[in-house]
Amino acid sequence: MIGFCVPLLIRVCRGPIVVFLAALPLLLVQCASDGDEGASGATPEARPAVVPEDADPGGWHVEGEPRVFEGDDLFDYINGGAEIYHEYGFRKVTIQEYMGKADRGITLEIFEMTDERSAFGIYTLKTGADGESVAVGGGGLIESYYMNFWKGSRLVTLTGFDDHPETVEGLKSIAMAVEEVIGGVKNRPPLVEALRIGGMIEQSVKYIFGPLGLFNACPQVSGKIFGFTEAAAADFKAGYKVVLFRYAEAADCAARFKSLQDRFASHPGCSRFHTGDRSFSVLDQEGRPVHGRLLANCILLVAGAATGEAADQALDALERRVAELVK
Amino acid sequence: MKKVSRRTFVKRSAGLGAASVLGGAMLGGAGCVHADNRIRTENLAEIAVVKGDDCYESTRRAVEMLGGMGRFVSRNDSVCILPNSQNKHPGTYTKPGIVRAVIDMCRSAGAKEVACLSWLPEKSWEATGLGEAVTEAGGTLTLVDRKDESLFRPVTVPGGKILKEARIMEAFFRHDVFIDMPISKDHVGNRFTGTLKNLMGLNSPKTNRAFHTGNFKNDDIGHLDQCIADLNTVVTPSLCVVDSTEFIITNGPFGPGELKKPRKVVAGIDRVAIDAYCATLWGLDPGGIIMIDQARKHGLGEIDFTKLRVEEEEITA
Repeated sequence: MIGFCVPLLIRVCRGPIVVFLAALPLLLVQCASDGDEGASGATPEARPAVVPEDADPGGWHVEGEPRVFEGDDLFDYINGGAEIYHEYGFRKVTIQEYMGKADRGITLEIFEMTDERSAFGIYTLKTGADGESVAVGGGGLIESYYMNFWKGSRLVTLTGFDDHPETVEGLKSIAMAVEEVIGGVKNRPPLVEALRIGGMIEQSVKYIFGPLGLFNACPQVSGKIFGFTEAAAADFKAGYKVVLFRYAEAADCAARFKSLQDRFASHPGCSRFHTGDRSFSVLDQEGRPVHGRLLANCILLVAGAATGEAADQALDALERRVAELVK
Repeated sequence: MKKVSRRTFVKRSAGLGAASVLGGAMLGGAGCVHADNRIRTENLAEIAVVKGDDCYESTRRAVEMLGGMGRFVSRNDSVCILPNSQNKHPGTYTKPGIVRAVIDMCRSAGAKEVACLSWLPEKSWEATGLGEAVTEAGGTLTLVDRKDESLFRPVTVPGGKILKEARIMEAFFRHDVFIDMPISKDHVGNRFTGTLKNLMGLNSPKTNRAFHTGNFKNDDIGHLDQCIADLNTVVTPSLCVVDSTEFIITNGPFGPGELKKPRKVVAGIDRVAIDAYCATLWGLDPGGIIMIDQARKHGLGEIDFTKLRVEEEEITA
């Protein structure tokens, strides 16, 4: 933890009284060590078992005490960005700082989600198309100065503060040490498995729980489709993108499919709208072809296919996978 | 002192901007700025952009291109600044060098006080180095207990489409000049955060939470954006200084995320135009960001920033 090395000129407003304080290094040291967030950001009495004391290689060791934020207190930790974790199902985050050689620091965050689907979903949203894949947990990815992996109901995020090789090695060392002590399955959701029709770009997979995730993962269809239980999306080497939506009930799904068609049909920027039995095609507002199909309680979309035939082939293959894997 | 050479180019000088209003009202006409009205603004930049590796120098130059801090701050003014101190992840917080430069310029202009207002905990200010920057430069870090609603003044939002009442830090009203100092970056809730969204840092966290938790409910994808645009109708910065030197373009606002490094400091008065400009730094369409478009509809600024006098300079070592 970086500390103030000069006396602060600080004004603290608490209650109706404004207290002017000057030169308070001792007080600040105290604040830094015991937390000032009240109930949120509390330091647990014992170090959680999921937080290793040290990690090798690299001689990484804990620095300071862990902090924990639970439930809605996540808004106190992630000012302005907590809602996406809640959409996926958030329970608790544990934060621990580590120090290595040459004063390099790494922050460990262990997000405990409601189940492995939640953990996998938020992992896919937080990881990009580029990066170095790492065999840890259910999947891990290093992107420049930070790393994410998931295992069981946990998403683990490690942040270095530079991309020096020692820091990057430290990310892996700490990740491996954490992975050893956390349990849980590594299975991917059936809807994600249904995407595997050949040519899928693995690191492009997004598993989505709600409209906020869709807004970030698939902005092209955000605002046109709602109320789904889960969605999965991926890019394919052939140049198109597939998005699958699952609903709890087939009747609701059919109504949403109709609504989706209506939104495309009535959008002033869309053109060449054609509808058929349980299917449609349209050029969206960016001039990209979108083909849709209704299958029981699922909606299948293929966007950007080079030809109508290519889109139909993809939809046929997806239909078989969904019928086989998704209930 | 590093020796610098300067290469100046005007990207566009349409001459469309009439003389800008000097200074600016902070809130509902109260706290008007009494800046130096001898400064002529016809030929000054309306958006000043300075590219370079030294963000302190870039900031000083950007404000100079607007006419200097004396245009915004008068002798004995009390100034409040609002940097973003999200957390210590790279590209998520306003760089300390930019804050130092603004405080130095305010003090040189004769400000009697430069206070950095925040309801974020001390830890945030420690971790980012911003607390140290504020105090070393002679400013005051004013931390407000975010859980005490009595420290936030209810403010009616007459033109608000969703937000009908804001709750602004009481400490804010004790100042004459307000300088908005965000970092531009990605945001999971609305894709972009900059000058407009940074004002949530003055509003009570309890009210802000309703901005966020109401978002994307009932198929409403623009709740957060509209609340922010509404909030901006009752709070007007005198000056905006934006850190676009290095910021995250994924996993915002908290990070960690992919970093973009345009090495730019952007300054001006028109929040809508500045946010629109900054959004383009990583290829976003400003019109596609609901918050910016709603702010335009409120009449808060010009979304087509090319209609303004945008001047860009590069400082090279």
